Amino acid sequence: MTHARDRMDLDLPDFLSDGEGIDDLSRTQSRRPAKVVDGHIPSELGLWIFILWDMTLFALIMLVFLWERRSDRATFTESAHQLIQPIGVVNTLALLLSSYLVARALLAHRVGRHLQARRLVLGAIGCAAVFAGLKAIEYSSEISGGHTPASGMFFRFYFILTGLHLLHVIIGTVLLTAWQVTLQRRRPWAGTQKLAEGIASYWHMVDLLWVAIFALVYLVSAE
Amino acid sequence: MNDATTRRVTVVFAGLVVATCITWWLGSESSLTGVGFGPAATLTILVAFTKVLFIGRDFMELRAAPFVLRAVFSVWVGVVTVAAIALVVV
Repeated sequence: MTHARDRMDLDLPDFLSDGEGIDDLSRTQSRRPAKVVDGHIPSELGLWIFILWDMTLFALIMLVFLWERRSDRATFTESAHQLIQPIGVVNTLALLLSSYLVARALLAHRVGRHLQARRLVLGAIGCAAVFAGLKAIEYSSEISGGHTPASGMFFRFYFILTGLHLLHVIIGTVLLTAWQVTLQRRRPWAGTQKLAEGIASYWHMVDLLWVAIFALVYLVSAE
Repeated sequence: MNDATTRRVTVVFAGLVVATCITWWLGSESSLTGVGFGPAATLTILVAFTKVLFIGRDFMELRAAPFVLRAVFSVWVGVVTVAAIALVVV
């Protein structure tokens, strides 16, 4: 029995050994192989290939946007001034907060604190709702002000970038809800690790993409 | 729960919030009169992509990921940052 447990602990990644109820002896034993193994891939490699591909796609659109800006800087600056920057700032903070809550939820899920993880994921879903609500207000304001994808190059890129990003927010929210369901069913970490880590990684990608979009479209273009 | 990890994630979140306020301040018109477009834009991009780096390393847990994955992510951030600065400032 003891031998079997020792073997199981040796197979665990380092972060699991810090959980509650694990004695000091097994904690020491489980830490040793972590130095030998070259890190832990959150979820699985296939997801990371997708994430890096998606990030690259967004990066290419943002760089083409900046390239186009060089040929008509005055119009881009004037158009960027039509955006509601405070909404962009609040949305950035909402997504950062959601990302923080998701990171905390993953840590809680790993050690079996399902209720705490559920509350944190619920908070992240709330932040996503705030983001989508504010984005709807922003779109409504822009369109009623006569700024549509047909209004020029700046707004064409603005709607493509923020629209694609909003689609990612919606997909991410559905995934967070799925995670919430697995937490409600109190499934063991071993069976949900890849799902939870995958959803968390996807959500953080949604966050970091917005950080880049906000900086380049809302701030730099308006300078 | 790993208290050290929780603490680090919390500190990183606080830093990201502060950095967001700094980039907004840098991007606001009032600051431009004193800073100038080039340095302000460069600093805005640098701060933004430093935030991206921290989101990857601490929220996405790439800090504990294999070297290759960490390297690919860091190179992505570096290349996009340099390209963005070059397109905006040069």
